[in-house]
Amino acid sequence: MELSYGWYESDDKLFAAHHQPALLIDLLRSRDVCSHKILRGTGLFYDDILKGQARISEAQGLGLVANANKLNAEAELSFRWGSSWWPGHYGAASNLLGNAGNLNEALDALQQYRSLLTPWIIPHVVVDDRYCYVYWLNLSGSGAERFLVEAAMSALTSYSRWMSDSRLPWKFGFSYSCPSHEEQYRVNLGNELWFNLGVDVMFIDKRWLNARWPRGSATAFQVARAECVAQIDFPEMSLPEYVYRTLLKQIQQPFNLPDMAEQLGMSPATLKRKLGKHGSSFQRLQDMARLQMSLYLLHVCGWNNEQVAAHLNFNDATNFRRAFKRWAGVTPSDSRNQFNLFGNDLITG
Amino acid sequence: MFSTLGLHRQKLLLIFGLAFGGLIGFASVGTIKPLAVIDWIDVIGEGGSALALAVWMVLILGSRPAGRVTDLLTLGLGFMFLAMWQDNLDEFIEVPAGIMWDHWLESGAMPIGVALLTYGLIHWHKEQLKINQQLRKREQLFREHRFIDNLTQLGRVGYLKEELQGLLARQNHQPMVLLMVDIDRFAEVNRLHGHREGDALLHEMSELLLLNLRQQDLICRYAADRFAVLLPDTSIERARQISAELVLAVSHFAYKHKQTGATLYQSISVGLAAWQQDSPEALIQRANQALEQAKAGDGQSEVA
Repeated sequence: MELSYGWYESDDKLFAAHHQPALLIDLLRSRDVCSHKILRGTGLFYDDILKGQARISEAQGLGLVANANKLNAEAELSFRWGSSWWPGHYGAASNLLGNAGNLNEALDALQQYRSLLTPWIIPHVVVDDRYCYVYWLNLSGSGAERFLVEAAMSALTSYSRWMSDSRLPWKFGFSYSCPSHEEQYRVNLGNELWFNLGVDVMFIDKRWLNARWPRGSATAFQVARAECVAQIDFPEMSLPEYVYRTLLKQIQQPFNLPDMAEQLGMSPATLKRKLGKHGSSFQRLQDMARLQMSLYLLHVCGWNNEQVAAHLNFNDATNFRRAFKRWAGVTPSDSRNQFNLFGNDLITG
Repeated sequence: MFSTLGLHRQKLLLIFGLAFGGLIGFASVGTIKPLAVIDWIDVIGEGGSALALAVWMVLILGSRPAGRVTDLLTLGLGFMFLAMWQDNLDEFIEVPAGIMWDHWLESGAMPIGVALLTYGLIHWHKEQLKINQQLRKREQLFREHRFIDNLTQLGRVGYLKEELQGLLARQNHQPMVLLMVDIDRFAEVNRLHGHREGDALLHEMSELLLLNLRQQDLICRYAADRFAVLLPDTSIERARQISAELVLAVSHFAYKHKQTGATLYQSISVGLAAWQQDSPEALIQRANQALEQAKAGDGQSEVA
């Protein structure tokens, strides 16, 4: 597969089917779901996956996840799947994760080799003076967004617990409302849960970033890093992620689809079509980037609506409030109350 | 779904063979009626009933192991189906007046079928009472198959909540204790030995816990490796004793790895909460908190 750009697209067959997809298939099969139901509509064959050579595209991977989500009679499947992701057996990148000496190194590795380690949902790490936040972004549409969030958060919780040999005090926020299987969240993730937050985020006091992990090994980590640099020749991000990061970087400039297309060297119609194949759109990505930035400015930097509105090029605070409600499902002030609740809780608890 | 159908091939052949024979017999002696005189309301009513009876018969055969009760139920429904079927053929085929066997088939099959089905249902009732006895500790007040966990065959958290609601609605103020039981370091079993091994361990652990409970107790799978045990009409002292017995039983449980045969010893932590006239959710929450405290202790099994 020849990739001339710095991103991959929906149909590029890059991902090893015997990694996370095979784990998911195996979990379902051990629960007596037959493989043709799991693979329906993905164009994949079970025999090819068994051979350990097949490469699949993002579209196929997300199709598989959507099938699993539908066949998931018991709510624990996503958590179970996620907890087996890392360190995993993905060659040099897994060696890197398996020898990380602390959370900081692990998160770096996770971001750098994210298309190998977490191909279907994207981590975005932000550290401020108190907390380390790991946002989980569904930039490509799959119809199984919640399933992926559950899996990813379970993956990082379980992996960090394994490496540190202790339960790290992660706290969890979700964009959606409390699901009926809340007990799965409590047992698999933890007791500090907030719903209807507008974003999917897990965060932890930043002092845990540099706490040493007993399973880590500095030497092995260095060797693995060198191996990664030498061996891994893999586009770092998907097209929607590329667009999202570009938007986030230039959040203050008015930026529309034709501008973006020009920057990427394609026609607006082509960009629109390509994003559409990812189940995404320019508008959706712009909304997500603006929501992400607004939440950061409102909650972490403590700005008011007027300041955020001006920063993001809104005509006035009313327009901003209306847009925020559309992105997050709640108004900025509701969101602030929610976050204050949880801010106080963070301080006292 | 219908994996048990193969066991009943002979009965199915008998019933459908008779139905087919009836059709051939009718066709050979009778003449087909013109479309104009066919009474379609009768056709739909009788034909629909015949079809429903056939479906019921297949459903029963598809869900039951072979045996006397299954034979009776199938034959009962089968004969009823035959009677309706023959009745329905009448609508399409005119039989000469001298022929009587179709009347015997039509009128004789129905009472035989009803008698067989009734006799079968009486025995099914007795059989069900025996099975209920076997299922005690897994289900108490009510049955709902949608709440059953596939892995351990225990009720899920939905079942526990309904059961609690049912118990609390009775307002009899008896002391009641809820235990939360969690396998220590279960995630490592999954990680080191694979999730199939983890599944097998969960299944065997649920059997072991079942064996160590009383007849009136109820055990459910809460989530992941956490089980909820409801002890009705039990004082907190007695509940502590039962918890200690569970901890002891698990510590002597030498689980065997399915591939290598190696022994994997396990331990559990238990959290207790006595019912304080509050809601099921509050009771579950307090039991979970007690469990967190037990786990935050020295990592050993302990009763909070």
